[in-house]
Amino acid sequence: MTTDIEIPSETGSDKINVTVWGRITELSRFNPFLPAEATVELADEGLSLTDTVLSNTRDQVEGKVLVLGRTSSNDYSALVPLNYPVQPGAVVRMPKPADIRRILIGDDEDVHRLELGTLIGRKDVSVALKTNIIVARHMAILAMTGGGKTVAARRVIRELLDQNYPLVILDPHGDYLGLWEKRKLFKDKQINLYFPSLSVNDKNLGLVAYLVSQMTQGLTDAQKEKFHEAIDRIDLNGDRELSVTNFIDLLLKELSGLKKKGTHPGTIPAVRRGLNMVRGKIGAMEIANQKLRQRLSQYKWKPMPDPLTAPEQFVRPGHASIVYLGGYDHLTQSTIVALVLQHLFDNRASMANTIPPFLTIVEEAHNFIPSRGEGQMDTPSVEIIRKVITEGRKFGVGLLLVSQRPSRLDETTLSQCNTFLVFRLVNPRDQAFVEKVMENLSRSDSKLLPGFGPGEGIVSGQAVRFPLLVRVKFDKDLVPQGIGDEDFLSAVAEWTGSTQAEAVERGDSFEKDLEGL
Amino acid sequence: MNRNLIAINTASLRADEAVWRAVTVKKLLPLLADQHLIGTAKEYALRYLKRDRTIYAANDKNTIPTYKGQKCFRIPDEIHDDFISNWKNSEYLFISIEGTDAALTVIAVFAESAKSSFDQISSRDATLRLNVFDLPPIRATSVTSPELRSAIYKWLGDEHSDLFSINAHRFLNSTHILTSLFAHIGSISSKESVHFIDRIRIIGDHFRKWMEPRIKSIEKDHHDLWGHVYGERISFIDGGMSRIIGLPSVEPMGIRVGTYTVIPGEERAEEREHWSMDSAVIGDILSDRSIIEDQDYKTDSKRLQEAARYILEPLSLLTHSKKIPLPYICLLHGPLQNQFSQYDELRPAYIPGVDADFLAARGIEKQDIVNDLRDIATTQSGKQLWNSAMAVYAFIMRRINEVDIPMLGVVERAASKAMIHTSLKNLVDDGVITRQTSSRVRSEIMQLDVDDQIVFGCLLKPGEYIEPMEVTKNPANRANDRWRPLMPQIPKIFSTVLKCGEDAYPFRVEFNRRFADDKIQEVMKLVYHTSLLLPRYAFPVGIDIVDKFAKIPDWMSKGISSHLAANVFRYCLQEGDVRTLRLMRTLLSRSPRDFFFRPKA
Repeated sequence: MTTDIEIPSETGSDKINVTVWGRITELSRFNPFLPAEATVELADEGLSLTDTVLSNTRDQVEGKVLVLGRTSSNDYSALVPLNYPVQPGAVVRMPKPADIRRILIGDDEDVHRLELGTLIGRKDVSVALKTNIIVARHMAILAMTGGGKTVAARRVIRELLDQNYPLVILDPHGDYLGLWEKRKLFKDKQINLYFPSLSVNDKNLGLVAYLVSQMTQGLTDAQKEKFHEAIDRIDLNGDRELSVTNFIDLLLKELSGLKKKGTHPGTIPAVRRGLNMVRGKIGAMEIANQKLRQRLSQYKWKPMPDPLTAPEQFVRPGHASIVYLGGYDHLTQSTIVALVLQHLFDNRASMANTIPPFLTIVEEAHNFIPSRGEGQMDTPSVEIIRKVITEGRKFGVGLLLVSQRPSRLDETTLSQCNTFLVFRLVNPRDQAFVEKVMENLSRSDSKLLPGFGPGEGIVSGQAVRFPLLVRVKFDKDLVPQGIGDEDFLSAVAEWTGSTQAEAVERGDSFEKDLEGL
Repeated sequence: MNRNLIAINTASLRADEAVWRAVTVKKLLPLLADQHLIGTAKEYALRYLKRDRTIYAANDKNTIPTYKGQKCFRIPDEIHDDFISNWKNSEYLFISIEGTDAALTVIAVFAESAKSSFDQISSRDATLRLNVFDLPPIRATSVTSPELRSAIYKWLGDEHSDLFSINAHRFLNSTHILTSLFAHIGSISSKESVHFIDRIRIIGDHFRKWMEPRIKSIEKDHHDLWGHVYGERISFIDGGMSRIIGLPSVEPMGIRVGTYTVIPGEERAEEREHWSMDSAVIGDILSDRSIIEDQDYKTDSKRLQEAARYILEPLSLLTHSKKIPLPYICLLHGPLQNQFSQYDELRPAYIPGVDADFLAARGIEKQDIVNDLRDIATTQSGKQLWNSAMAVYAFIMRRINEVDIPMLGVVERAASKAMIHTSLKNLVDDGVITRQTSSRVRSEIMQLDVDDQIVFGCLLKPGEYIEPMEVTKNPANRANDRWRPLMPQIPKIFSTVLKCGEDAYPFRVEFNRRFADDKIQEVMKLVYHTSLLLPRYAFPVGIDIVDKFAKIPDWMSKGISSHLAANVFRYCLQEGDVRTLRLMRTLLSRSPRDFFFRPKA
């Protein structure tokens, strides 16, 4: 809303005409001539209001407006804080779309913007975010389930891919697999579908040590000595590359051939236990991931390239690399995320110039940067995500954090995001957390959070001039066909039983016959 | 208030020679159950339901006699035969003992059989285990369980509401009535305070008995009522006033009279509701100071405001009643007719005459008033005071009286005793009570300083009203000599009191003329149902609506500073144009947001 007022000039000698801009934060409708107790009587008696003497024509709509600032009356590009009161009784106007666009963009007309959607209640006014701010200074998309975070993330991905901006998507639940399905819509772009495949070669011999340190209680100095002694006996020269599980098998073999003399009798068995533990976990999870991929057989999967040795397979202009983490437990997912991010970040930080700047989308971010209260501060990915969020800007490594439980996110990390897109949040703890973390979010704005519809939210931060209520554009064409809610009812109807179930059934039948005696 | 209950098996006690002898020969009813039930009380009042279903109530205190070591209640001679007959024909007797040691009331009521009493009580609440508490009684049982006692009282109250003064009990015990009574009790002597509630209840009880034939009842049936008034125009009218702060004079005072007309059943919003406002400032209504003879006069500002409002409101009502299409009924917030004798041009009020232009704008000319009224007062110099507020008011009242449409004044929180006094007078005139009883009641009411709303609140049940009574609001003896001949020409009005909620004060309804009984019932039914739309406030909702509409907003009363007002008037005076001056004054009494009520500052 706008209103034109006259305010004293800064010199105080004369007055200037300004336009004050405000955003409606609250709307209420009431009829002072319709007493509440009368409506109760109408309901109790099943009466229609119009059949009585009650009045229904004098209701009023009252709006509360948050003052955003003022501009000159004839040029809306420069919005400055208003430091003089608005005139009581002044006429309030609904500005034209072109004027709003002007106030939203200001003087930065040449800056590239990412089209996000339209203002809520003003379909004729589009909302766009400064692209460079998003990719360099990090963004967070927060919403409860069904709030619209995937729709919003897809929107950002599409816009960035259009700009050939490289994307790495860490996807625990397969929410972004549809991008591959709809890859034809991204002309001249490449969508890569990766499954975690940890392999060891002569350049990343430290991988297993890293896994052991993250997935077990770690090794003592003496144990490390024996571990490295075993590694040294394995020949990985040339192009030889082994999967992690095969490499661990080799290590175990080498460990049994080591001299036990001079060492504590428990040292080698302890190293073996640690390696067996890692092998068992990874082996089981590889199988789980494989089974999940088999159910998604229509997708073309590729093993995840080594981020250390082949970062360019992850990050290339016009490429979106989706790492599907389904089937892996929390710790392993976190380890993989840490591994990928660490190597890619190191690559950029080392100025090796093998990969361009890129944006990483971390879905279910609360699992990878949990708050201290969650008691998972040893989650492997915490350290590298913190590093990226504080130093990434210098090296062109951006983060887009997506989460449905903001209050479970690490507060320090989240507050480093410069742009927030918050959708419907019903949980009061999440609302309070968001209010605390987002500097620009007013009390009245946070009150709106539980009332947002799907795709409706508030965007705030450096990517926009002031917080805006936005309805995110729904890219209907990007909705995947291959993935949807599973039809469990049909699955039960078609269920033919299992060997185990048949065995149990036989036992039940025997028990029943005995009872009949 | 303490309440105790004794249930007696009359058949078994007939066989008890000592008890039967006490009842039949000594005319005493032994307490039979726990003697402590009557505490240290020495006296009691008896209420008894006779065989013909009428109530015997002896409010004069009886002393409590003792017979063979047992405390008893005396059976008065005039009901003794009835009591014996009742005893013989009934199986059970309930004796309720309630009140305090200082004001004990004993209520006796017979029940024919267990089926007619205990079965009904237990059927209302299956969880009550009567047999555990020796009920029905084999001989005499004191009901000690609070839940059971409450259930029996509930049943007795529903069956015999008048005997147990249920209506008065509920009214006097509701929280907000008690709160105001408490404040009231503080203003009367401690001696009166002790029995205050009991005495009001007794007055209410008797009044109800005497007024019984004059009490009319309305059944709650919204669908029937709104179906009946479907498509009719119903108007609500109310006035509001404003003062411009900071001006040395009380003038200009803005007055506006708002009208809300609604057609129930009409679906088209633009046809259904009509809102209008009649605005003026006092100086435009009462401006002719030439009628004041006293050279050293000072107009009583409070009375000036009242006089202006009392003239503008009924005048707007009258104007509205003539509008085509004619309304079905008009309801004015406040009295239809006021006591107007103090608003003349003489000491102490010194009210100026009504502006001729103001009257002309509303279709009233000098000739109309002169032709209609006899004996209009004249000044010492012989000038006929045709436009005196007194004459104009009388003229308006006479026109309103002539209107065939019911014109009602609805008065809430009426602190007067007018309806009590008129009722007592009518009761004496009709021979229902003697002049002595009337005086006794008047003196009691004066002593307790209770008004219409408390007495009628006790005696009426929700949906009941008193048959409208002719009320003289402007008796000749209250007017100054020169105006006395005019006073009888002001028509009498017809007043009633309607109670809409169990724990709500009743309100007064004044009619412009005597209407046929069925018309009155029809009108009261509408008033009752419009009040039911405000179930807690229990007042016609249409009046509440127009009250909000007509209120002069705060910003107008307080916000217009003396600076602004003085400047406006200085400008107008400099212009020297009367029309501009009048326009500015009228504008100040209007609100640009004409439907807003008291906006927040």
